[in-house]
Amino acid sequence: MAKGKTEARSTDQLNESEFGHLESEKYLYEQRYIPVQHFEDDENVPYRVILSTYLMYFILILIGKMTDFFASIFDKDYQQWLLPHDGYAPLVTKFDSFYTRRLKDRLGDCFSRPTTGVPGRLIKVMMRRFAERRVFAQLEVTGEVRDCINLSSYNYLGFAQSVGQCTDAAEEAIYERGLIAGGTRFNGGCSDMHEETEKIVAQFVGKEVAMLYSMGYATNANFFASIADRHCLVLSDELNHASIRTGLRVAGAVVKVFKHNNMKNLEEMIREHIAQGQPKTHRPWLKIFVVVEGLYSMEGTLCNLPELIKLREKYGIYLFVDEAHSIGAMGPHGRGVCDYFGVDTKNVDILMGTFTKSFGATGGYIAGSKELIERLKVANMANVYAEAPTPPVLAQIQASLKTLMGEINPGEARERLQRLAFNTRYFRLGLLRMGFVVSGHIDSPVIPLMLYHPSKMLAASRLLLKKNVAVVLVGYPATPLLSSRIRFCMSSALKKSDLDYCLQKVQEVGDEIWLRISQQTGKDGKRLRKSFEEAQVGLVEAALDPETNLEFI
Amino acid sequence: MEELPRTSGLWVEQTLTKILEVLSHIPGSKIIGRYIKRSHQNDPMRTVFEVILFGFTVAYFLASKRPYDQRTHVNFTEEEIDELLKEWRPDPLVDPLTEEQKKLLDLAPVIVGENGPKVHIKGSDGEFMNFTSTDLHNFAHYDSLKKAAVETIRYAGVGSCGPAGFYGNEDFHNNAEADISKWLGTESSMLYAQDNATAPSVLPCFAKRGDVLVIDQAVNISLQIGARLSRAKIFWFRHNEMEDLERQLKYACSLHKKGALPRRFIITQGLFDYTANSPDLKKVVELKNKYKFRLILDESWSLGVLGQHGRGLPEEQGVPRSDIDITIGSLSAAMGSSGGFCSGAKLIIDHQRITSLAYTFSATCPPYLARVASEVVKMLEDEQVGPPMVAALRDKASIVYKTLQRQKHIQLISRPDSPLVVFCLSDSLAEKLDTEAAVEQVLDAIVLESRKYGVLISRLQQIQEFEKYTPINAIRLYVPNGLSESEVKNAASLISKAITKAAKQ
Repeated sequence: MAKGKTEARSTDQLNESEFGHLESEKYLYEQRYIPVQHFEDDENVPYRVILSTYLMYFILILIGKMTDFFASIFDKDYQQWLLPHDGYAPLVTKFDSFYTRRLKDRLGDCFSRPTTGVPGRLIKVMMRRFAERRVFAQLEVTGEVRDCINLSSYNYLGFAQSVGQCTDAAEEAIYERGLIAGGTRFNGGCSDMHEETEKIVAQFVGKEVAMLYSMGYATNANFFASIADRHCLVLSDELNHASIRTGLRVAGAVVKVFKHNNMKNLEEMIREHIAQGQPKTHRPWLKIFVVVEGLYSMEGTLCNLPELIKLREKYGIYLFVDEAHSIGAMGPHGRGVCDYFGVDTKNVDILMGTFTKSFGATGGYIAGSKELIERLKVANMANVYAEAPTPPVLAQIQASLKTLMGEINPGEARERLQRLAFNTRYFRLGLLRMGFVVSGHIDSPVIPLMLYHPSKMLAASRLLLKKNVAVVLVGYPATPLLSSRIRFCMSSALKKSDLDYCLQKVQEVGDEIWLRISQQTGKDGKRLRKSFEEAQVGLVEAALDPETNLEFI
Repeated sequence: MEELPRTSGLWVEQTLTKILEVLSHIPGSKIIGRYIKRSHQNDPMRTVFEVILFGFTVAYFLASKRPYDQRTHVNFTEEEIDELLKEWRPDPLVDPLTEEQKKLLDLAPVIVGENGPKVHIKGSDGEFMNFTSTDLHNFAHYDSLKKAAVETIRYAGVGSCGPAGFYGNEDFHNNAEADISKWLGTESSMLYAQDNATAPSVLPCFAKRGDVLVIDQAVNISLQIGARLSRAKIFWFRHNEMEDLERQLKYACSLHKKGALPRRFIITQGLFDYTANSPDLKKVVELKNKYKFRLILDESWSLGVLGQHGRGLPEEQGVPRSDIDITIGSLSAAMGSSGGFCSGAKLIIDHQRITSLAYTFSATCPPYLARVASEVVKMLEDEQVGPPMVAALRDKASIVYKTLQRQKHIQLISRPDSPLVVFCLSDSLAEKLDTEAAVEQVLDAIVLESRKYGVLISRLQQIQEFEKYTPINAIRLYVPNGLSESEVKNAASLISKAITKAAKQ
């Protein structure tokens, strides 16, 4: 029923550079959770890679220290900025800033590349060149703008568009409601549109009520202070996002970190800490929270939700799941990890998420029980002191959620969700077959390709940009120092031919800078080192097969 | 039986020889062996020392793996733990709201339809003159701005879909940053996606453990949180009292005896959120130079309000912007956009772009908001538009101030020309009421009475549990530039009437 409509929309209305058309009905996959798929992150890298990475950092640090020595004599900016002068301490110490100045700064041109236009299927990257150095490398825009295939933006469902129902709604909101909310939610900035949007969000995520905030980071950074204090224990996954860590510090709760996705370790800690009680006083904890992310944005791993829910029931802990990346992107209906694992949302106490990623808007939400949200309304800093989300943003959220729920353009939701799921599996399996080290869950739209060597970050990013592929590099401090990586973000906006083009280019770059180092063996017992053409054989079928196991590709 | 010692001795010797044999096959082992032998011969104590050192290293590494604090750890058996687990009853996720909180929640207005100088609210009929909107200049409804915003959305979509480091930085953001810098006269600026998230992220970039912050007691919550997150040593000085500031500066300096020089900052605001007052900036700058402190000025409310072109407190008091090391500002207050920014020397901004958490770990603000910020800055810079607009706002604020000055039941806290008008009950009335609860009741009554007269106002909202100092019980009005002078005057007298009525109850 939906087919006719889908085709009409994609050819007539949508700008091809923002949302590519569906090349074949074959390239759709409905996400399904198969319990055998692993949660543990198994990277298999040769030992020599780890050793040479250490060596490389050693050399970089050595060169950095030497440069520092000469700069302290000759560089005026350096002296003024990093050495004490006229009785003032330097704003930043040499030691604190060494990593940013001497290591990260070498990658300066690979980060913060300015763009213009819609971050859709293609992204317009503004090219830069090096200008005069002032402690940090300075870059200036050359004026050349390059259309690159966008494997970098968090545009999972392709809602970043300048045309279509969402943008129309946003435009209407500007004319009808104005540009901004004009106040805090608690005072002067709360409109019926906010309440309406909250109802839709609550309905979509499957919770009683929801609360919106104007910034995703601030949602977490302010949330925990409203519900936890120093008499509460928070068990936090070691790879949790910086916003969660900031929020926990603001709250002043006792935070213990458990190993990433290690449920055994978590259970041991829960038992130990309940038995021991609060430090020094040994009084029982008032509340214990387990804080995890649905989809880890740097690793591409999912939380082990079924196991977490068992622990929640067994020990009476409160479960917080940050769905910043998973909402919209995971589950057959795009409703996050609960949808993916097929569990009822009532098993999770607090669901948090953002609209920046899948929905092409901005801001975050907290969804939970009525009591929780009422408490947040009066005692959450982001609600009482910070500005409310703006009307166009609310309109975008409403329109995109309604599309996903089938209220607008029925059939479009299916295409967006299933294209994302197919693209994700297709690209990941392609990379694995070619012998790249890729981490994460098979259905995760975040696909990290491990580089390890810091110098390869620079090379990979520049080479891929030359071939018109825009990718994101992730290094320390977002990941451990050793595991630098490229992170590909999939999108429904991408066509299969785009993915083929990217796979081919990644293979070329991989050969040039030696990235095909996976130790994994295929069915024939040999290490996976297929060429792009060989890897393509049966790749679509493998991606469409729900039983495809990462061990046998 | 007698043979045993001999055979076991032999076994030890054989094993040792074997181990040495295996070791000798490792390349380089001979050199190490020779080194140990020779050093032992030269100085046997050194061997002892090195063995102790080795033991210490091993112990250290093992110790760091112990997960729990050994001093307070109690050893339980598994059964005991199970029993304790059964006994443990967690508190409910949240406590139910108190009666006061419920009342606050009921009083919070919900606007139906368009927000602006005149609004409709849920649950009441008729139009209200809106004294609660932070969009003081009513920028949200300028047609030129709306046109620019729609243009931007039609070009770049609504969201930016990524943090600044990961292709989320559009040319709109870069242009807005450049425009703000040019307007303020600083080297460089950067945008944050929410104003309240700006200060908690800026301060920890520069102030670290051991550094010194001297802060005004009335600063807003985000500066308070930022100071706490920085782990620096904090000294509070009494609100806008320069003698106390000097005393604190002296005291802070006297604490540093030896070691590396700490970074020292004075933190104050251009126009305070809670009191709507301004400090004597010239004096602050003088003191900062005298005691070698750096100045962080939060201009969230003073931009677009103070000074001829709305460039804030420094423009008003004739202090060059270069005397302020770091400027933190909000675009969501009088600037008609949403988000915050930080401005200062190029290196200050470059360092933040890499280390500031709310910048690196958060998506950038929607491009259309950056574009609106640019356009607003251009409007304020325009001699024909900016200065008259800013002057009109302050004139209207003065009208409200003068009208309320005649009201004897209240006491005005804010400065006379501030569009944020803050007042609390007069001392005589507060004394008569005795308890805080009764004071709050009267304030709520004023809010409700005003609404009956068609003026939407609200109390100054602070969350007690997060504030460093006890919140002041007051009412805060935002004087809208979107109303005409006569309307503002009318509204002010209506508020005054409401106060009289509420005070009599």
